[in-house]
Amino acid sequence: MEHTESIDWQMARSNVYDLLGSLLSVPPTDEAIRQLSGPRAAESIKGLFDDPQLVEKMNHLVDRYRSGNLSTEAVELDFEGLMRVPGAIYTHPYESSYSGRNQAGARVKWNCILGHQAREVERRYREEGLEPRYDRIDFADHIGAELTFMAHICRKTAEAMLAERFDESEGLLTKQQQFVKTHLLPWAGDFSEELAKKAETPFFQAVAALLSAFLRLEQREPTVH
Amino acid sequence: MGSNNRRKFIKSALALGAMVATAGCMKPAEKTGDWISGAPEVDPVDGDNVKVVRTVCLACHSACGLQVKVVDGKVAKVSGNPYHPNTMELHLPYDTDPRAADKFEGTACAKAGALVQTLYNPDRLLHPLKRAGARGSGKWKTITWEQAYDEIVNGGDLFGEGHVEGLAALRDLETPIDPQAPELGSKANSVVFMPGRIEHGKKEFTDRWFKNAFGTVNNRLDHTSICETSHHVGLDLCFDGSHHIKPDIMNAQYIIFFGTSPYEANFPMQALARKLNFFRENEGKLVIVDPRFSNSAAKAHRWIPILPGTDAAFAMGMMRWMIENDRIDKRYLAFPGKKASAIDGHLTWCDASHLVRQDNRKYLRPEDIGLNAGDKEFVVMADGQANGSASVAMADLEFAGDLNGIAVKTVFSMLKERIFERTVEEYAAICELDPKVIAQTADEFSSYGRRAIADFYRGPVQHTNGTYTARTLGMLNFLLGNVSWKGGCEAHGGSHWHEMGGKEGNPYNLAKALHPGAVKAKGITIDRKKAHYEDSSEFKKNGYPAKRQWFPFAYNNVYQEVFPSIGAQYPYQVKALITYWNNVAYSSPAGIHQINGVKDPKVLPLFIAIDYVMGETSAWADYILPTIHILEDWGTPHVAPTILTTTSGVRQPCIPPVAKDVKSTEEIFIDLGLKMGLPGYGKDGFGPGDPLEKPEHWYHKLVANIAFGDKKGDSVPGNTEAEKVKYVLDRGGRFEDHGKAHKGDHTRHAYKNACFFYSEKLATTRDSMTGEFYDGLPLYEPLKDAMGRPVDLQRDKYPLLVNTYHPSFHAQARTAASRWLMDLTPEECVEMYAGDAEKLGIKHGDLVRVHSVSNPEGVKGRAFVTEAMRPGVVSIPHSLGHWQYGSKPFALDGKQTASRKFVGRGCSANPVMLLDPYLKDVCLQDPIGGSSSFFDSYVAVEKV
Repeated sequence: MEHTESIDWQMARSNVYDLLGSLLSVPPTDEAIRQLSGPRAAESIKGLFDDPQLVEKMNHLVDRYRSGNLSTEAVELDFEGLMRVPGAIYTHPYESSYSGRNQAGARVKWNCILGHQAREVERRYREEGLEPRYDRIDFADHIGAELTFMAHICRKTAEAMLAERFDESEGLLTKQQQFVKTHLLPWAGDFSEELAKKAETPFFQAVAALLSAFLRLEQREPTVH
Repeated sequence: MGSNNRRKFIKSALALGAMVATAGCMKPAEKTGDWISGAPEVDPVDGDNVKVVRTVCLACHSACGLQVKVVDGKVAKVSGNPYHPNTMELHLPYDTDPRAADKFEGTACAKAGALVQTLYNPDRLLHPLKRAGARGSGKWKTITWEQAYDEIVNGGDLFGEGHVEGLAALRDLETPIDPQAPELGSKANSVVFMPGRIEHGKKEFTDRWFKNAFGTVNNRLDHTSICETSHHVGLDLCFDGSHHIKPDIMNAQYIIFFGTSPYEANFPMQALARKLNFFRENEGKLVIVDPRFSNSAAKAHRWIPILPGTDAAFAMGMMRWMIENDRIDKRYLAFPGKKASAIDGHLTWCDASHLVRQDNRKYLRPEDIGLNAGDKEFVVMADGQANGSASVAMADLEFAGDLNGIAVKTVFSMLKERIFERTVEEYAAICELDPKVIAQTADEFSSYGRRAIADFYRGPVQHTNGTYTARTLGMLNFLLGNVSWKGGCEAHGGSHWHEMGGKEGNPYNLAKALHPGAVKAKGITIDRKKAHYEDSSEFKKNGYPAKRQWFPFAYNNVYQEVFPSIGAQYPYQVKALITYWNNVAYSSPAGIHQINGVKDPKVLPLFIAIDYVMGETSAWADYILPTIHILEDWGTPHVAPTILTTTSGVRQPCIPPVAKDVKSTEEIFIDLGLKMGLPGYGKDGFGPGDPLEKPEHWYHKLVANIAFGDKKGDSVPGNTEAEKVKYVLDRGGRFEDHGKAHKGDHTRHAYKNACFFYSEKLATTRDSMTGEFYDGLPLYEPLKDAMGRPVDLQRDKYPLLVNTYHPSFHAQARTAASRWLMDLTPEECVEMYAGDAEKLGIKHGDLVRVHSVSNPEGVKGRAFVTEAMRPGVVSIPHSLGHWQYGSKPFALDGKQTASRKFVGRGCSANPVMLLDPYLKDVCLQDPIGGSSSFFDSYVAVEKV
């Protein structure tokens, strides 16, 4: 990959991570729903991957929005149910909760919150000069925090590459690999399936499809440059 | 991914980034010390480097036992002491081996867990400080302890502002402080000790110093009147020697809490909440009366969003319904004394049948009508004849007539007349509730026999009508005859072993002996507590009103009166004020105005603060003496009657002080005592060869008293005193077995005395301002000022009633120093009803200004818009909105200190609370109990 393309690749990944991190951290605003359900953003999202399921979900979203059948309130309620309120459609959006739940012999559907994973990821965030916004999420191993952290580190990688600080960019690439391998990928796919299964609005069904497609990409080639 | 697809991905993703604004959940990390990450990765139980210390918490005042894990000399984790009944249900048997107990953990709340952060708080003061500019200028210099002691004791021209008398010169036990008013006492009373939060062990230690060694009556003017003193005073006027009630939760069937917040505050919050969970599992009905839909309300059978300040009206409405529907225990009420009530198995009796003279408001005594009866008897009617109260089994409840020309009525007749002055509908109108709510509550309350209880704490009493309300709410229980019964109203609790000695089993009588050369302080305290204005020279000269209120029933202190009284130099000038862990300006209603009382060195020449951070009040001191943290300190705190078994927790140092140049309060006063040559300190402090030279000398004796017990033969195991003391310290105190909570149908350590519907003491005492008698019956009284006048609340300009509360993860001023606790705290802190917010155009998260007639500038915070609030009420949680306490830098030795902004996040309701319109320098107050008004202030809220 060309140097410029490597930088763009990191920035592109950062953008997708950032978008997903944001959509899963805070209830989408009117403006965010309008933008993402509009034709321009939908085309960009569909263009990310050659993924028929994502295309179908995005088309459905755009249609529903255009026809006036998708209210902000419904999307907000869906967000609250999926991400915050422990009820029927709650996705348990924490790495600690998913840890080991699909292993053979696992006795619980959901593991305890605030496991060692939360402390470990918080330490990694702090090493990079970041900390979670606890007014938005409850624990550090929230899916939104891990995705936003990856957005940050991909952007830093791009900046280091652009400034030709290659030692730094190499170090950041290693950190990216370690983080996705140790923390994000072991559970985020499982989470995206929960999200797809439980989302009640086309908006979050599309978000689930986007997350799923992006995680498959990251699984294949997380830090290609 | 092929290169084409990759380029497509990049193109799409970059376009997407430009198109969609994002807002994630990360922010730049604030620089923190190592400690802020909390416990080490591994939570070791065993190992040479691991030590478990059992102590007692003071993050709030619940006095929960803690089990503190110390790893390599650092506190790594705080959990609950499994021996302690506050923190485990059922607590471990006391003979459990302490090392075996290490494997258990009781519960600890978030505040206790966060003690690690306040212990290693980077804003702690590390050395003695002296002001280096004008008082309150924020300029300080580091000095040595020796310099501090020398200047405090000997005085001099300490600040280039003229001569200041030191403590040595002020210890004058002979010269009257005011020759025109000798009842005020000696010049020694010009020294005032004002701790904020101080607990047993330390209370008695400082009393020994100030009262019995230095000789001032102003020995401990602590915080209780900004807490809930009218609750205690009101109940003290309902019982004989008891002043705190709690439900026997585990055996009750119906509990109505007026305020109290049992799931988020109160004493002990953990035990209350835990026991209430069992209560609810057993289908007990919980009713919460509170304008705010609290955690407790969320778990209740019913929530009653009452108008603040009207709880007494609600209770009187209940009483009327119960009397009209014959739902009171008339047999209990008609028993005239102890012997009679014992027939039904009662341990208590009441005065409902006792006669009261209508001419002088006193109980009718047998000698008043020439009746032959015992000295301590009252007069009752039985079958139309007057009798001594001990001579009949059952008395007439209702009577009004003349006996020997004296007009008399039974207490019950007077009570009924009072209650029937208003209908249930009229009471409901006062509370702004549907009358059906009162009727339904009264019906429920009186449907469970003696297993129903009405309890209350701070919310209903921090009003100008606080004591009357406390009495009225307490009496609901008397109508059911539920006091001291299993599942009923507990008015004593398990109490504690007497650490100060004086019981037959105790080896050390610290209360009355072991203080050679002790002096007796005399006179009137600066807050005029427990003092009758009519006994003063001022009254003889001027009559009513007094210059400021006197508080004959306030047997605690009138905290909010101290600074204004110092400012007014009333009833005398204070020459030296010593505060300990005290934050008057932050914690009092309208507290920001209180500083005016202490800011002028000509009025108050010497102000010494003992504190561990730069508090809002300590910032106005002349000297700050840095002290230690709870986890480094000693104490013997007591628990509330929620706990039915005898409990003596012992606080002990878990580690040596983190900062090396700080001292405990006890060390400071031992040092000062030695320097001044006060009696009772040094190598013969307790007596020849019995030293008081360090805190351990004091606390060894206290713990030994606990270990030996109150009765002979009640000792813990151990062949020597040292072994017995170790036995107690290893377990973090002494705890009675959980199986001893009850005895038959009663609680084991029950209250066994009279219950008073009528307070003769109250009814025959006059208010120092109006000259009017207080009222001896249950009473609802609207808001009033110091002169007893209605307060013009200017509701057209200030339409919302401001309220305050403790979230479960905050308490008092001190918890804001914990990053963890502040991270749990929403940024939005001005909680308001959604309908009110909509009318004002305020949305959740908007920055708003809350202001009042007493504080037009007001405070600013973000709005928390909610349905869970009574319309017209704004609630701001306490502990936020610091303007010092480490949230702002100060100048130390010419350099600005570091600060942490999060400590000052949010806002506090206290600064906007109303000043008394007559006195103008203090908040509204309950003239009887001395409580400050926290829940009577009206404010305006506007978006900024």
